[in-house]
Amino acid sequence: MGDFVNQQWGENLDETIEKLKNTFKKSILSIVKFRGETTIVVEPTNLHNILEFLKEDGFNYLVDVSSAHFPEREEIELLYLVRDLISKRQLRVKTSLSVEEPRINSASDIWPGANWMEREVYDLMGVIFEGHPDLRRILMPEDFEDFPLRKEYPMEGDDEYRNFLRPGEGE
Amino acid sequence: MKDKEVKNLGLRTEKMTINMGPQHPATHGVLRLVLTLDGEVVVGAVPYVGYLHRGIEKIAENKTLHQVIPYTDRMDYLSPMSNNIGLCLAVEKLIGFETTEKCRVMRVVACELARISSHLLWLATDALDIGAGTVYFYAFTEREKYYDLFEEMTGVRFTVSYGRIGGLARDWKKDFEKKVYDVVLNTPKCLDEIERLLTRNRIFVERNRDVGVISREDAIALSLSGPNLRASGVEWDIRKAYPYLGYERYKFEIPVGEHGDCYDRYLIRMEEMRQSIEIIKQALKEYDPKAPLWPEDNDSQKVFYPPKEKVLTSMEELIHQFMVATKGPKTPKYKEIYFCIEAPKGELGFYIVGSGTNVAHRLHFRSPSFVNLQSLPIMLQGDMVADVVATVASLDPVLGEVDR
Repeated sequence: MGDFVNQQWGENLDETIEKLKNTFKKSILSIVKFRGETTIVVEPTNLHNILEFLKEDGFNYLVDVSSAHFPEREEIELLYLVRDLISKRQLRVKTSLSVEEPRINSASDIWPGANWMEREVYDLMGVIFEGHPDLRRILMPEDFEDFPLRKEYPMEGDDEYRNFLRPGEGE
Repeated sequence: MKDKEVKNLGLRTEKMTINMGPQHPATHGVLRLVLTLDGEVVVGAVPYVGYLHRGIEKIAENKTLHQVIPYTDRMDYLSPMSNNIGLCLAVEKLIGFETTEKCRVMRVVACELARISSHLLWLATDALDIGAGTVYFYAFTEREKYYDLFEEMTGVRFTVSYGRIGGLARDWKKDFEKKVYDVVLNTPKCLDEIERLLTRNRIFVERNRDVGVISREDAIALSLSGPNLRASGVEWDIRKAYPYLGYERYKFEIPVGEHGDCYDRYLIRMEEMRQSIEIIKQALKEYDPKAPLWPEDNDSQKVFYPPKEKVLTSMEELIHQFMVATKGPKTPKYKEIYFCIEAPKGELGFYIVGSGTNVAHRLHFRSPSFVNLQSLPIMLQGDMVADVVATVASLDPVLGEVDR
């Protein structure tokens, strides 16, 4: 029985990580392994270069772009999950952005498929992707102002969509 | 007539922008397309989505993990089974527990039944959009049998909520596996009949071949997945690449297309249904009705539901069941996992960040239809306006999953 809980994300990932470390040195902050998955945490300034490097290294398929808000650190984590369709390697590249000014270079010039995925992150989390060809809201209405997946956005409100109460407002 | 000739005649030409949807019978939901036309040729298409956005990801951050399962039914509502089971597997990966052998076999059967029923509905609507109305009735008659199976399996026909973290909502009734066997054994006859109507039908072929073409390179670059990626000639299936639920034990083939057009996507889905039937047959041979559905060791029982017989007879297990049902498993704090399954529409991924409590800090769905839909403008480029309907249908988007 295959142990899916600790299924490895490709066998020769260490080689890639060594090469990344040699090329980008201080931009690689840490490498986290959990349940067979490898995450490299990188500096936001060098994220685009690192993704470009990975594309040239054979990671030809962008699986997913996602984000998570950590209010106590005042940070938004942005994650790119990349995959090599030939050798079945996978790698998660993670970077932290400040909540006040979450700006990052878009990866849609490396993988055109990042287009909608980044639009979704912009729409729901408010990360601004520079150099994105078409950065518009995608799921929420065009005139919507907030970013609903941030933790401070309330779950309930008394209007259809606009007049939700912020914490501390109302009553 | 070429542009120049038209101009020489002194005729004024201009591009026309037309709106298609969100209320349009051939967009399979609430997809809105803004098409730019040069005569009858599509020169630009911009999809607008979000009309069905319910904020499931936000809701999931405020519910226990068991409470999220019914929401996943409403994502890809044509194959709720695989959504449920995918979420359960992802949570099991996060908390580090595995299920029993019997549960795995039952999940494989459930997932593949969902794939067949989802593809049958696609087949019906795809043929209907192109004008082959008869197929609609044949495919729906067959699909009805699968929904009867779901009804008997789960008590519900449509939004099944059958998955539970660590197991399944209920065991199969006596001799249920024989009913499944009977149904899947008869499906190839129906598929043969439909293939006789469509595969070499001149009208169907003309409407589909070399329509909505996407090259192998574009398909990979745009992160297409599932049958749409395979139709472009990429041999990629999560069931083979990162096997889960013991898929590595079953013999099945991945159909791969060549041209990446609507006709290849049709052929691939037809073959996939046959392969799913093979998987179900193999899985049913391994099904042991007497084996336990839930793990019986003590460690697992603190996380998963206890066996139902014990709940009804012993105090300890009753309390335990109450705790699992109301609170559910604790997730490790700020640990993250990504788990993907091969859903009928493509790669369905779950990215979960634990919070140290029974509620996920972040639950992100990588929904296949959403990512697949962004290649629509490239597929439509240069096609006729009548081909838009054929291309959208062959892409098989489910808007509940696109908008989440």
